[in-house]
Amino acid sequence: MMNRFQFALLLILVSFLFPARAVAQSYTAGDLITLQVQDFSLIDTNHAPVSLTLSASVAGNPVQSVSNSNMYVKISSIVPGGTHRSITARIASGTVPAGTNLSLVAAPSTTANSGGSLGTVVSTPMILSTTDQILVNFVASCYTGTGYNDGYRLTYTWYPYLPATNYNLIAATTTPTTITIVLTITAHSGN
Amino acid sequence: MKLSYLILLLSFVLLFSRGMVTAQGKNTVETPIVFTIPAIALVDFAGSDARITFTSGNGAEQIITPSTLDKTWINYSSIVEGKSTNIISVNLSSGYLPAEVKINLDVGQDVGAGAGTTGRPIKQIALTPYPQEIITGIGSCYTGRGIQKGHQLTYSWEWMPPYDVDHSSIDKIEISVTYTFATAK
Repeated sequence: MMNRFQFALLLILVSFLFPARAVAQSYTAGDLITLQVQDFSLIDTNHAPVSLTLSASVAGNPVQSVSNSNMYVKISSIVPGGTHRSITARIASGTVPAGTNLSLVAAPSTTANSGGSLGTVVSTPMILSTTDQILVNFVASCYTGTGYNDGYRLTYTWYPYLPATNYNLIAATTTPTTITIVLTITAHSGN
Repeated sequence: MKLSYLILLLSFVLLFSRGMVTAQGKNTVETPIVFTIPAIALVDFAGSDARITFTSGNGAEQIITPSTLDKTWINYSSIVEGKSTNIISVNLSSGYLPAEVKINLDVGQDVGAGAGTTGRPIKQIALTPYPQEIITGIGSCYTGRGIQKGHQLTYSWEWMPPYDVDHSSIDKIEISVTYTFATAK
């Protein structure tokens, strides 16, 4: 049996095994944050004027086809995962002059100020009519940039249609004829 | 059923309903396109020059026939307004024809190398300084460019009686023929 002194010594020794530590208590706090991305689409053109004039410069030749590539179409789009949109075009009002056709084709989007999944252009020029036809397909979440020359470049081509049978229908215009084209960015395919 | 239970059930249902917030579905932009078709009237020749030069040989008259002259062809392009038509007229524009000489012009049918409403030729005329219609009823059309396209022009030389080549003192005659494209009245 140890005496009191030995016991006290033992206690002191044991206390070294359990050093007292002064630790401050830490608290955490949190909050719920809701992040929501809404799907949306916006479309506009650079409103470049498109004025087409048929002309023949050589006697004996028919009027030549004429093209204009000044217009660009710009879009911004967010779609739900796995879905996509299209850009379509149609004639909203007016008629193309008799004996002629107006065709439209889009070039792939410019890359200077754009990003995202800009889709695939339909490579064959379409003959414009009152029915919507697809210009660019599989557009997902993307943006083209907002500059005058950003976006998908549109080429309009105006030419005599089936001249062997229809050339006699072409008539000089006293005042220029105007039609209105409507470009649409469609609802996403998940609907 | 207690009201509080109903409220609880209702809020449960509302919480878990498919509250999809979709922004715009379709979006559109309109743009105008302007078309202009001007009236077009262009005429040109293929083959030999439109100037007829007659130089006397050894007293034998020289007749200008299709076999002795490069065939002359007239080509044109035309766009007319509505129901109007164009007409091609011809006249002697410089030089003079002595009284003993007459030059006839024959215009053939359009050979069909182009398309549209091409004109109808008058059969044969004698060239004078005054314009005469030779092709009428031209609508919106083109004949094609070059020889063997459009209408064939054939000039022929005729001695007017009582004159004849043996007694004439004509040495050399040079005339110009002008073709004019105009809208029919």
